[in-house]
Amino acid sequence: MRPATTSRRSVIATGAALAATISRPDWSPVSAAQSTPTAPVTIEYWHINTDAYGLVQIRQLIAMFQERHPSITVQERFLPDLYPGVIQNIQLGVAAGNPPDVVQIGNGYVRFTAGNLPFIPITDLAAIAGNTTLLPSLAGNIAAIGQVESIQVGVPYSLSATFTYINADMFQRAGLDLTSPPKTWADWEAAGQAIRGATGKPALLIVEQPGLVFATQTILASNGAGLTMDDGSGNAVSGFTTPAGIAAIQQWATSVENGTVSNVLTGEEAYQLFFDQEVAAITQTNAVWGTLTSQATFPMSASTFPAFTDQPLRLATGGNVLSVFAQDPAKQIASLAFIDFLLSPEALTVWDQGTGYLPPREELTTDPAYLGDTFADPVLAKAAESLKYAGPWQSFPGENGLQCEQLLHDAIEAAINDPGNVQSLLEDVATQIDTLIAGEAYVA
Amino acid sequence: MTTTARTTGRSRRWPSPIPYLYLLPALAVAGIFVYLPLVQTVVLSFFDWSVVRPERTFVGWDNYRTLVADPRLGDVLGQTVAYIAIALIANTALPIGLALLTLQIGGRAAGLYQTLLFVPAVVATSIGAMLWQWMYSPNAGLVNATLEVFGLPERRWLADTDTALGAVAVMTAWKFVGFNFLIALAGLRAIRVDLIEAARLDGATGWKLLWTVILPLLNPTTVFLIATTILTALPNVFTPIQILTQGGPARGTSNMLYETYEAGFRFFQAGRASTWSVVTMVVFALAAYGYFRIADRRVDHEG
Repeated sequence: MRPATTSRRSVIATGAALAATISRPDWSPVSAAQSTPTAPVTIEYWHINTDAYGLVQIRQLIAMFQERHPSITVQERFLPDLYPGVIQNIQLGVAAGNPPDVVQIGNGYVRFTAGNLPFIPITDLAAIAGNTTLLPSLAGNIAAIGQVESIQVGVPYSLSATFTYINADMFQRAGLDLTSPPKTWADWEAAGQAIRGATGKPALLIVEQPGLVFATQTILASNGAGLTMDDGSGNAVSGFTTPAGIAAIQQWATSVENGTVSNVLTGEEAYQLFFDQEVAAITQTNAVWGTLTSQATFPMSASTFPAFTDQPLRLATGGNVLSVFAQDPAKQIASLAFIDFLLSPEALTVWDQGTGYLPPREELTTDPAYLGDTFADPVLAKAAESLKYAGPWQSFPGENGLQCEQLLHDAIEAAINDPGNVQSLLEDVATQIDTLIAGEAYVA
Repeated sequence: MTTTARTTGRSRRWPSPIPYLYLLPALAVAGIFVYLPLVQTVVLSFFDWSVVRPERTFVGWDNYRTLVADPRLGDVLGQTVAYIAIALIANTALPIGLALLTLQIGGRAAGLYQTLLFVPAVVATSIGAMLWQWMYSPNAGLVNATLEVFGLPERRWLADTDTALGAVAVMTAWKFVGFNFLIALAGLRAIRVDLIEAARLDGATGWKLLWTVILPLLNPTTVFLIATTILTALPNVFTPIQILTQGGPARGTSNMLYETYEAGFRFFQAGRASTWSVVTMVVFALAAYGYFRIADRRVDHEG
């Protein structure tokens, strides 16, 4: 088991390494005017995008960047196996003394990166490079997606927010007003009654992909609970068995019991039920907008993810952040320049139009010069509106974190089908999870 | 001393190295790709190591203790046995029965049936799994549509813990029944006709002929089919699980091999995955050894 202080110690060590790097004789602190290296430098950009999804845009963006920064050459490198593959490859690169320069880190791996990998804090890098615009261009809740304990591990880049896709036909048959769709659990209970009465079907299906707790953590966070919490001594323990956590899951289970929410969880089956009009609404991210809207045979509307009355909605946000691992000072500066470009309105327009991600800068979604036309679609507009509620992706700390997610997923699956035993099911799995994360530091 | 005697004496002292040199390339490949990883797996099972981290921590028997204390161990073992039991019925008993039936048919029709039974064997497992995913679909699937015709209630085959394991096992059986059917057919055709005729002349017909003559003579083939079915049941069902259920719902379709995969390649817990590997290897080695001990006594090798 790893020591409790690992995360903080690694972060501190990284900071120290950065300071040492900066103090090297060949390093000269740069001003804003020097934020692009004058000598030729080549950096590697590691990503997960295939020919079918995003690689065309990456190559286009690199060409645009190199035109503006002739001294910097960017070599893109595709990594298989999505974000777990990225983490493995970074580790291999670090072990071989050849770390990458700029990397897409999955939002679910930001905390892992903070505690285990030699990233360069973006805040420090921006200060050294004299870049005063990159981070301030992001809203506070968006910047927080890439932060761990106030350290900017990466710059939020590709975002996907969960919201509710609505079958407008079924809503209208139930006499529901689509200009004011359900937003809270209480609203959904009322809509559920109407939809059951008119169609005999459940109103909502909350998708949770196998082994993940993406929706679960949104539901917990929106009721003031979390996957983990501080045990009082700085260590992490399960946070979902607090009264708020149990109440949140109980709400979900009760809604399943009374027929408002479907007890189906998994994606494939969920989509099929939605397409077959066996359920009136489904929660999913903007990542499947194209699939859902192209295959549905009914008009689509949208709403935000269900919130608890009088509680702010807090969405776990998918996608990735851009982190820097470059060890060479010139490469660090070039990496920051590249990230700065990728976050520019022009580059984000190319990227988000091509991939369907949400931009980390919400204002672009209403600006006709950039993404305004794309997000004029009423369903995508709801996705963009959800950016207001976007927040960090939580994860269980330590090497057993992914196993803990699987355990909690299984417990949630059981709990929503057994509303009378929600508390005991959660407490049982909390005991197992606490054993697996024993001694791990709590990270806020 | 004659030349022959001299040669014999020399060969007793120094066996010719030539045969061993011929074996060396194969041994080297097996050593690097089979035995070395096997030894490394055993060694790794005594370490706590995340594959994304360079350092390993020696933990002795901790991984084994944790595995034994895992409250899900009983379920995983039970599900492993269930997969093997279903595979034994579907991929051993059923192919032998089908082979017997198609032999009775004879003529072109037999060839047609044999071809139809073998077709799933040439379909990629992943494609077959996706086909069955559609067939099991709760609303548009062929299985529920068929049930509806007979007025039977629809089921969520892959999402219900009562049916998911069976649904995955049936898909796997469909994929692999054809190959075992061919083996059973070859085994039946290899039985000497004069023995059957002799039995008939002695008055053995119908079930008596089957139980007392044909099946005993088919024993070597049956032993082979049972052994291979036991040893391949978990690898065969891996892809269907991965595509249809990912081990769910509520881990109800997982088994020892899938637990190994998840520990190693989803959770990056190399030590825990190695422990599952070692336990799986030992259990199956013991099962195979025990089975062959029993089978050896019963096989009529002259058949």
